[in-house]
Amino acid sequence: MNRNTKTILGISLIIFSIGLAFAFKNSISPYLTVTQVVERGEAINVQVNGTIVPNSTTYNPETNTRTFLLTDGKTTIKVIYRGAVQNYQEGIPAVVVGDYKNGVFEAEKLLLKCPSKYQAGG
Amino acid sequence: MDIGYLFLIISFLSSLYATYAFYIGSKSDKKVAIRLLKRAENSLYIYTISIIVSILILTYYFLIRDFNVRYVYLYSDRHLSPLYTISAVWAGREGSLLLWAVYIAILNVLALKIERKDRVLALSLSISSFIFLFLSLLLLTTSNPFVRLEFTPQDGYGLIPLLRTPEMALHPPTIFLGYAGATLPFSIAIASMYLRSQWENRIRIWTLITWIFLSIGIFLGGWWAYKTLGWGGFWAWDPVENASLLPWLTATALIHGLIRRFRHLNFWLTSTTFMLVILATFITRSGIIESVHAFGESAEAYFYLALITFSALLSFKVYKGKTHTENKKSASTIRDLTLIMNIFILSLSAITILLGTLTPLFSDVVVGKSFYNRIEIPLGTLLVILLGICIAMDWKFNKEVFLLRIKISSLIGIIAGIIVFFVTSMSIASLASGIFLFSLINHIQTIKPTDYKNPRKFGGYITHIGLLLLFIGVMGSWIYEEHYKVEIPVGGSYKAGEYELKLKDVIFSEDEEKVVATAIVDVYKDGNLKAELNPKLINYKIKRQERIVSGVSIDSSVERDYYIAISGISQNKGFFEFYVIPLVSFVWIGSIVMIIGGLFAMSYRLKFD
Repeated sequence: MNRNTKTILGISLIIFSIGLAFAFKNSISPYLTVTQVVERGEAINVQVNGTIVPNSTTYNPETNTRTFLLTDGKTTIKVIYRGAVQNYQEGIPAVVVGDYKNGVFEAEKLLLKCPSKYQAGG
Repeated sequence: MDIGYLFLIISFLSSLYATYAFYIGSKSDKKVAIRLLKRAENSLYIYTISIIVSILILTYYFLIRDFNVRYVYLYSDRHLSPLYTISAVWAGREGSLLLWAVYIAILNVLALKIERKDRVLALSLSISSFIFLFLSLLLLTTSNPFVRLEFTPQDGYGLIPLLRTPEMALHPPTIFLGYAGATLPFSIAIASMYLRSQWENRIRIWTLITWIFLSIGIFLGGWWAYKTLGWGGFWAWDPVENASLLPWLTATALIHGLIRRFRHLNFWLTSTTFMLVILATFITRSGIIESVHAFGESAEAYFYLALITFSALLSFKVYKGKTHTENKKSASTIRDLTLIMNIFILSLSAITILLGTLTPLFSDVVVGKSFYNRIEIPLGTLLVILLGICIAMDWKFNKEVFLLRIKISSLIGIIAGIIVFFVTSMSIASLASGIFLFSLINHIQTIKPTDYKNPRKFGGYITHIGLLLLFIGVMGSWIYEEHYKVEIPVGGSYKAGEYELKLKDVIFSEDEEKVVATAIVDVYKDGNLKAELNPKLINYKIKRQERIVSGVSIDSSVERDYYIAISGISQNKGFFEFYVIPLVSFVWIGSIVMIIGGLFAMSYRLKFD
């Protein structure tokens, strides 16, 4: 490679790194446990990992709203979720994405973990 | 012991011997070498035949519904149709690993048949047999598909409903062929580097095979996600999707690097592609990265990390051991520079995705989709512009001709952009169509009818045009997608933007496999009926927890899709996710054109042999 090539690549690399850093900083959201969320009191745009408490789900077909409890073994929070859910099941691990305010977690997204799902995906 | 397991053992032992004999054979004097290599070849045939026999035995267990075999029990049941029963062979961790090993074995035999038989090939086959050995060791230990239960259940657990689509039946066999394809370029590059031999021409066909099948696999995965998952998209930057895209990006860079002999660059691209394939397997199987997809936790995963480390050390060793006296082909022409830039952009893309995918491993944060979109959309756009510039040059650079072509294409691009802006008043759409036409016109200006006889060049052109169509599709569907959460009583209607949705009826039906709720939804715009959609909610009668699947309903046309999925339903009310997605058809057309281009380019080598 001659010097011009190296200069061009070098400059683009610097510009790229700056862009990458900004994009990264603006796109990350913290991953919390249920206990950490409750300790914070209020948390916006976070992902929370936990298990759906058995027999805690209520579903209102009039508003398509699902309410359930999420636990990490130590602490439990109430989660409200409106929207599509495939393979909903109590007692399984779940990830909720959304905001925690006034003791309630408003989930925008609900991701359910299935032990054997998609393994073939490769 | 199960007979299938017995064949796995034979496979393991003969690949162990093949690894040894090919290695010693590659170093020995002629007389010893001939004798040893003959034996090595025979062991290669033996392990290939045994692994094929064992996958056939597994398929047989599925077909006769032998639920005493744990794997058969987990992934099928009595009601499963014969074709999906066969696809269930690779529906799980063990079966897909077996399939991967089968592919590596078959490709090794192919290499033996079509490559020049020399020391390099012997050493390469020793390395690729070692990789086979590694996989067959996993099949014998952590991922044995032939484990039997202590009793025989009456019925199986059932194939995961989401996998009961033709795309998902075909996705693993294609993506794993892509994965397997990366083994030979890696082995040949390492062996050649070690023996100081020229290698770049030899790996081209194998790299193309990798590229073509990774492309088909990724395409099928995206198409499946779009048709099945109900969130109106084909790509979510999910770790598992990223995992397959990473080796695809480096393989694409490598194919371009191989046009010119950028030796050092090519070596590292080859080696990285292989390591990324193994990393992809690690990501999918470890469950270590939180994702909707990758939850299959298994100890097996850590063996893959060991294989990556081993490959990296091997690469460094042969690279360092190599004397740098070779005639270095540096980027001398201006077109070489654009090729380097292309490889550079593809590598930056891969680095970005790698960073985003692995971040959750090292910290407590999750990287959102916006991270990828912010970096990858500009990089992709840059790539399309660069593609137009690069193609407008000839290998023998002629400044006047080049500038003329650029002037013509820029002019057409700018005019098209202005027209699109006046018609749609959408700024990004007009910019994108301008860039699209700029690049397309440069391709049209430089292609000659006689190029048809040169599959390498012509195949490249076809793939480029496919990429341009894909670019338009991605821009349209990602930037201009409309999404509405809709709630309609039966017999009523709902206003979503400029659309009106009417829920005519909800019908419940049942057969021996499933219970289905079907909603009849009509889409109106300005009082005109635009589409009749019938999304479904399907409840499969199986033992699995994953029973309920949303049946997406799509009305497709070239310019836009109407897309609807049920999010909740009762006798008198329905909740829907409704999407209007412009130009998404270009994503499919573009991908298919790219793959056709790849196949065309491959016909070059096949003709020669």
